[in-house]
Amino acid sequence: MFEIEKIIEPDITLVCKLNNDGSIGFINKAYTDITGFSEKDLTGESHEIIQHPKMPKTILEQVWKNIHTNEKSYIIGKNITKNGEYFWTVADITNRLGQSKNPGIFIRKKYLPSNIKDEIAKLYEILYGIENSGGMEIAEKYLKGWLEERNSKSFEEYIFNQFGGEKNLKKYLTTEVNDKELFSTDPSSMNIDEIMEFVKKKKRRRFW
Amino acid sequence: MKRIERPTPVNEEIKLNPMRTIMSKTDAKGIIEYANDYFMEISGYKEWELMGQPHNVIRHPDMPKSIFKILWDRINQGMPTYALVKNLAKDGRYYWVIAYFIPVSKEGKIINHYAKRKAIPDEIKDEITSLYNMLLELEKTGGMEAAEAYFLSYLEEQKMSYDEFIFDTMRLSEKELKKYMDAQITDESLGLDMSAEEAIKNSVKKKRRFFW
Ligand SMILES: Cc1cc2nc3c(=O)[nH]c(=O)nc-3n(C[C@H](O)[C@H](O)[C@H](O)COP(=O)(O)O)c2cc1C
Repeated sequence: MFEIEKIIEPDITLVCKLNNDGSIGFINKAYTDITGFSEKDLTGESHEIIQHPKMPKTILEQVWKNIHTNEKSYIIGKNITKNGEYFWTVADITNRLGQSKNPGIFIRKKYLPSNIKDEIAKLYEILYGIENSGGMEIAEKYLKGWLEERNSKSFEEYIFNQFGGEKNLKKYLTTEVNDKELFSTDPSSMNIDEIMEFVKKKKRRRFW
Repeated sequence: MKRIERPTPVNEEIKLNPMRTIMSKTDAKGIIEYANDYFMEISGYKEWELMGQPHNVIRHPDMPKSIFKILWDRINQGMPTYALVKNLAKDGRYYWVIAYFIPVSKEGKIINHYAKRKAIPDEIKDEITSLYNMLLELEKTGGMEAAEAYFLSYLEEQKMSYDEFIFDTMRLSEKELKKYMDAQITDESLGLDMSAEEAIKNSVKKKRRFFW
C-alpha cells in the first residue's frame, strides 16, 4: 500500500477546506481528479484520510501549532490517492476560522519539486523511525539539529530557503488559484454576484 | 529505550573521505540528539538506533579512558577541545578521526555539545596508537589516575599544553587545523581517492590569486 508515486503536474492546484474540527468541508475538482476520491468520500471525514500514514507526528504537530497561532502556515506533505498511490505536495494553510463569511482552514497544495522531495522523503522516514523507537521528544531534537545543519531556525524557514524565499514560494502557490479565489472556493457559501464573477473569470482564462 | 549492544571489534579499518565531515550533536551529558549523513554512513547505524543513546555506543575499547576524562574536564568548563579518537562502527570495524568538540552554553549553563570529525593521516594513527597503548597499559595496572598523571607529566616535560600537543601531533598550526576541519565539499564523490595528507595540504594552502 502507498508504494507507487503518482506524479502530478506543477500547474495543478489542489484546494481543500477544513472545518474547525479538522473535518473536510470542501475539495476542488482538481482534488477529486487527482486522488480518485469523490466529494462524498471526503466531505465530513477527518483530513487525516488524505494524509500518508507515515507522515511524522513531529512535523504535523508543529504545523497544527502554527495553524492555531499564525494566519498563514506552510507544510510539505505526503498525500495518498484512493487506490493507494502517494504524492508529495508543498502547501500553504490559511486560518480563517474567525471570519464571519465562509470561515474555515484553507489548504492550497502544489507539486513538490523533485530535488526538494528527495531530501524531505529521507527526513520524514528518519523522523517516523525515531518517533516509533525513541519517541517524539528525541525526534524533535533530531529535527532541530537537522535544521541547524541547514541554517534554518524553523521548518518553515527551511521550506522558504528551498524555494529561494517566502515570496517565491507564495508566487508558486498562487499561480493558478489566488487568495481571493481560494477563500471563496466553497460554492455553497457564494452569493449570485460572486458566482457570476467566478464564472466570468474562468471564461476569460480560456481565451488566453 | 533499548540499549544498543556493543559490537565485537574486528581489526579492519574504514577508509574515510578526508573532504567530508562526520558531525554530531549531544545534550550536556553526551546523549546524541543529531548526527549527519556521513556519521550514519560511516558508523553503519540508522538514526532511529542512535538518537537518544549515549555517545559511547561508538566508543572503541582501544581508546584510553584517560583521554575521555581530559576531554570531559575541558568541555565541561566550556573549552572547545580537539581529540584524536578511534571509533567503533556497527560492524566492528574502526575509523580514526580528529574530533573537535564545541560546547554551547545558554545563560551560563552548557546545553549542548557539537563534534566535527575529519580523517587523519596514517602516520599519525601509528604515532597516537603507541601513546594510547601505553595509556591503556597504565590504566590496567595503575588505574585511570596513573594514566592521566603520566600523560600530563609527559606534556609538562615537553612544555606543551594539551592544545599544543594536538597541533604538534597533527603537524599543523591552530589556524591550519581549523581550515582543515572546516573544509567542506558539496559533491560527495570528490575526495574519495584522496589521502588525508593531500586533503590537508589542499585545504591549508593559501589560495593563489591569478591576475590573468
Ligand atoms: C559531542 C560529543 C561527541 C562525542 N563523540 C565521541 C566519539 O565520536 N567517540 C567516542 O568514543 N566518544 C565520543 N564522545 C565521548 C563519549 O561521550 C564518552 O565519554 C566516551 O565514549 C567514553 O565512554 P565512557 O564515558 O562511557 O567511558 C563524545 C562526546 C560528546 C559530548
